[in-house]
Amino acid sequence: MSSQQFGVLLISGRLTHQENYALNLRDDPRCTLVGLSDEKDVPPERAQLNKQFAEDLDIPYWPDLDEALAREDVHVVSICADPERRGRIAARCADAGKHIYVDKPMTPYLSHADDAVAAVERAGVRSQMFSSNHQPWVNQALQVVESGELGELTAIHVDNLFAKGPNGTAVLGAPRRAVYPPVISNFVDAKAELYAIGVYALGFVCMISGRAVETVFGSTANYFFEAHQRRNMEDFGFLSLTLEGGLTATITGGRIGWASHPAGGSNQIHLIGAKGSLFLSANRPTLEIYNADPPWTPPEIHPRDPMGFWRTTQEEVRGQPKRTLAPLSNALEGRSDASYFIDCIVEERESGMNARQAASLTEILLAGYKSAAQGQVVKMPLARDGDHAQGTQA
Amino acid sequence: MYDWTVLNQTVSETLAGDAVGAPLFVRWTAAAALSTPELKPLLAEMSAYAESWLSARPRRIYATGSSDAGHLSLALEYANGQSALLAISLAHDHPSMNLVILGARGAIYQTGSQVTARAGSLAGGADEKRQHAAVSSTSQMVAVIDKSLFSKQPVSLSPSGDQP
Repeated sequence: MSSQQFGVLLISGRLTHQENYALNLRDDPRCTLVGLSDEKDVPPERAQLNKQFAEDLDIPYWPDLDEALAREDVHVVSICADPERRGRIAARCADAGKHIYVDKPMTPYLSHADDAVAAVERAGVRSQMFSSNHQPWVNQALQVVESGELGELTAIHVDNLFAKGPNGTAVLGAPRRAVYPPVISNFVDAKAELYAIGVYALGFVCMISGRAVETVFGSTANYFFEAHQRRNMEDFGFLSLTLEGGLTATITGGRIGWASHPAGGSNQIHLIGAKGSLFLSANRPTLEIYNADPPWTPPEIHPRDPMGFWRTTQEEVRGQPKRTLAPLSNALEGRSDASYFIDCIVEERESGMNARQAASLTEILLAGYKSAAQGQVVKMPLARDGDHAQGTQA
Repeated sequence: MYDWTVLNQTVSETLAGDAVGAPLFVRWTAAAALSTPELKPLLAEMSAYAESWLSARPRRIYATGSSDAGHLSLALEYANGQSALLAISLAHDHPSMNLVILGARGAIYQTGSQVTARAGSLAGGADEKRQHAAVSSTSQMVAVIDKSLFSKQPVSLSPSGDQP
């Protein structure tokens, strides 16, 4: 490997978060995208989406993952396979001696999470799950806690609520009957949103507190979308946690609909300390902008992406960004999560969101689903007596 | 400065106007207590407001934190499927709050330091009869919060709000 230069293999293409991660990796001058691959037996539609994305990026598509992983010009693998396949592929890439950058959450299966951690630690490679932990406003929360300004931290409350999707279609009026193991899969029109979005909030709590979660109480709901309800996947959920040393935390994660926020959503942290409290938001401080332009309207519904999950489909329906809020930002702060990972490789240090931490978040989320189904507080760790999640494509 | 009765009035009017559709979830975090003995009554009061906004009775609650640590959280699930996360902490001379109410078609947000708990009135405002009922309701909720904190488990409530 040439000094400070990394060949990056992409796994899975269009209609995954690879649409974003690949561009961030390509923008890092230390990285070169060398090709795109996937498991040999992926369905034809997935193979076609992979080929399309390889063509978009003008890189080769290698349909056999084993052959791609055998290449010496591949040093880093960006893994955005479907949730059910992600963990086993992460372990396979680590076993091949590649550094792994993996979509969030790393896997819904405890056994796959444990396997990925073991493979990473056995191979001595670096690993990182995508998160929002390195965004400036989140780092500010960490710095405030570490400064001792608030005194000893007693509680953290975090919300990650995405304002996307055509809300107002769910049938309301009764509690959701949560199932355990939960259905964790990516359908064209629905995801398990506590799992897919709550993982961000959980990542904040674990990083800022630096403490292990001891108990989990969870609740899931179908508040906004008929599609989630039809597929028996929650569109909203919350966790109430106790952590080492008496610290408590609550998180929300969900998809609340296009019209429910003037920007991308409600992303906020409320820190409570023995000497004071602090509220931080991704949208604060901000400029508020009002003008004579036509008001923002939701994008047309794309048949392959009605919830607005993916960049390329939203470009096809000409989805426009909301412009009412312009949060203050320093261009120098805009370092991508992918570049943070490359820093970790270059500096030979562990990412704060490595495979072990990612596996821990999977376990906490699954404990939340178990609690929601049983109506009880669940103690950590979970017993290794099953995978605690059901997929549809594994 | 405004107090929670004014907040309640404005929120209630907004919800009554169907601005956000059916209210489904309340997230309310307040650094509002002047002393630790106030924490539980204020948390119970927040619960009474949430119950009013959601027009539903809680069927299960789960409390965490401790008065000694200056912070309490309360998770509530309601009979019709709605839910709430409420948290109260000491104000430390700088009261602040963050309120999010998610509705089926929209959301309400309020953040800042210009809304404080109150000056001597409980949920229901100045009306003496309503205030008496609110105090009674608050006392019941404090007892349920205590039970959950002691057992470290959720507590189920009957449809009337009592512990079954």
